[in-house]
Amino acid sequence: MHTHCLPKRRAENAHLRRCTHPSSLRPTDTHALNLYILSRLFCIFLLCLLMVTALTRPVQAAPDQVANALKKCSPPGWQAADQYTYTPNNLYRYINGAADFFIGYGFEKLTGSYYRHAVHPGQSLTVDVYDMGAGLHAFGVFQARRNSDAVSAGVGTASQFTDEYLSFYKDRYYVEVQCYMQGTGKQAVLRTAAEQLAGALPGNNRPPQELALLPEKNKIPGSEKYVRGGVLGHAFYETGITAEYKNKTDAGTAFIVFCGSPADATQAIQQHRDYLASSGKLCAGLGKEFPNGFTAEEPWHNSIFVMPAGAYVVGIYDVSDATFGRGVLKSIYRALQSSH
Amino acid sequence: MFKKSLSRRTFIRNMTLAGCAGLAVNNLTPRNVFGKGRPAAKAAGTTSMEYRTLGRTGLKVSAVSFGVMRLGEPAVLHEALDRGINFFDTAHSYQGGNNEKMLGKVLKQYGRQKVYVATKIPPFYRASLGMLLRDKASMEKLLDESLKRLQTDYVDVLFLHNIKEPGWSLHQDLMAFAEQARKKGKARFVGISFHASGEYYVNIVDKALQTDIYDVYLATLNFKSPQSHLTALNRARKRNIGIVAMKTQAGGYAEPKHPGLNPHQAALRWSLDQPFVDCSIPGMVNRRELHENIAALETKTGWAARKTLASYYESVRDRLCVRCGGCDGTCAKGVSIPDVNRALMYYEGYGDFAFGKAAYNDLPSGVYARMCLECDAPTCRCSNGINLKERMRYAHTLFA
Repeated sequence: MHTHCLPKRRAENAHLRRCTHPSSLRPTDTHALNLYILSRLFCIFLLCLLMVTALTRPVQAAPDQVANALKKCSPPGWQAADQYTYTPNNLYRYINGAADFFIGYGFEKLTGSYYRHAVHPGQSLTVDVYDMGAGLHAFGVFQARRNSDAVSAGVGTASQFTDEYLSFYKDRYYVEVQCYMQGTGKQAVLRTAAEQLAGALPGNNRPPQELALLPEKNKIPGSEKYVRGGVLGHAFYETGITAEYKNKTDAGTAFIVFCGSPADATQAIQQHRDYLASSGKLCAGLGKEFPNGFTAEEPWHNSIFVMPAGAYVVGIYDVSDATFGRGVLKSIYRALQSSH
Repeated sequence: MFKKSLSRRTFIRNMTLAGCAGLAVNNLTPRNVFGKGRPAAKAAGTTSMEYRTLGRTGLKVSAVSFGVMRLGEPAVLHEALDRGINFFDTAHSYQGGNNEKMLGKVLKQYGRQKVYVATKIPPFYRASLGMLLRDKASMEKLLDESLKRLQTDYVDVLFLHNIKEPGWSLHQDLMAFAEQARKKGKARFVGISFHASGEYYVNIVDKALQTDIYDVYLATLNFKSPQSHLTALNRARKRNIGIVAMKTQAGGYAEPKHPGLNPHQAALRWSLDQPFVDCSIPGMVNRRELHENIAALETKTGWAARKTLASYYESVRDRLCVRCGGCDGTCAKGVSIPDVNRALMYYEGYGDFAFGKAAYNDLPSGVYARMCLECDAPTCRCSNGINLKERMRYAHTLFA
């Protein structure tokens, strides 16, 4: 009700602002009192809204918290030495050409620390915390660098062990822990450091909410990816998520492209049609069940089934069984509809 | 012996047929050079790739080659191959090894022998004591991992990744590793890659030239590179070292009055026009970038194009920081001019205001350009003629 009153009471509100100044008296007539109460209720509503927004948003950049978390990370026998930070404009000094990769995923800041072994100064432990600005970005980097053969270390939202390092992501942070030491015990050091750090970093261990848009049925766990630069290599499908789907007879890669608006989605799908036409591929409609959807042979892939869905373009490619392709497409479409 | 007399008509017909056959043999279309790969898209346009000899390696590489680093979609590689690109650059560390795996899969589908592959092995790691060089054994292990990921027994060029100190290229362990990789047939040729700036760049080139081990240099080079870098690479070229240019398109400036080539294409074209450059490896993540880069090659640099490029260069010259480092320390009040210029480049070059502003505001308060607003006795100097005082004031007004 109060929101309804607001537009036509702007002038009165201006008056109230004057009245509610500490030096002024509170309104005494009934009408003014009602307005005063309404404005107070509106302020409370705004405050609640802000609190809810703050609670549901990913954790904000907290460089001090990251630096403190690094201080809390101290495996037995190791002491924190120098800390360092890098931003997008100088990350290349630290990781050279690979900086472009991180920046492409939205990198904001790297805070890292060297650790020195109390007895063996030649051994080293380094921990790098990449603040990627958003959980989806951190997830994207982790998955892009994930070794399919590596085992999970059970740290953070998802993690992996390789011979050289342990990496994990938590909330908006992507973390790499590396250890150079002779003999055994390397994995124990990596795990201890990672666990201590994961516990101290702000944020939660929930995966990015965007991934929930991909339905679970027939999805291969852990196959999700966040793509920047072009799903299927198409610049008009610049940003999106993908996942592998499989049933007893067929398999394929499903995708959801984030287009920004329904008009952008329509434009993107038209560009896709144009690309296929220029490649000599025919597009066939998918019927009323899939408005504006089509199927075709995607160059360098098998069949693709694709359709616009609000501000998204959804699809599945590399499928040979049309029933399977349509089934996955329908389930994604439904999941998107139910999410709104 | 029967001797058939040739009529004029027969002669013309035979010569026409012979000419066509000759053209077909000599036509260096990708299909003819590399054969047919996987079923592909019908070519959106005809490709006229240019091939150059990579220094003393003798490899005939495409002038526009492919920096695979950020790519996640193998279809773009297939299209690049079909359009005539035959040299692909990756590294052990890119995408945690997934980049090499993706390239390896495509190589297997397309035919390993039809493609030239370069990868890079990091010769150092970081520790609390600073950067420490790896030993030979650990680098061999990394190389073996890379070969496994690439599904091949050898790479065509093996780079020591990111030589940071001039002396590293002469380090015994690194040279032994490179030599042994070549002897064992794991690398046909070896080289170094470097991103250094200023005098370090020149020193790295000159130091590496003291040995004959390295066949190829992979170096940062773009139209903003100082003359000293160009001269250094030219010195290497005279020793028949293969030169691969990277970071060729950094900071292209959008200039709508030059509609022919867009800034990225112009920057790529500039690098390819350097007589000592054998190929450039622009990083590409989708087909649009691939098409753009190839199109830059197809644009012949005749007089008109050269004039356009020169005019384009002149139009940005007054604000074009070439990162020579000459201005560093010339401000008596301690303004960090190179850093402020870099922030401006993010805005003007990449069109990313937020990035430029963040870079500027990230500078310590003592070195940013606020004090330039009131400075009436500037000591800053730019050897390339940039009006630094105005540029610093502009940066502060823009970002602060």
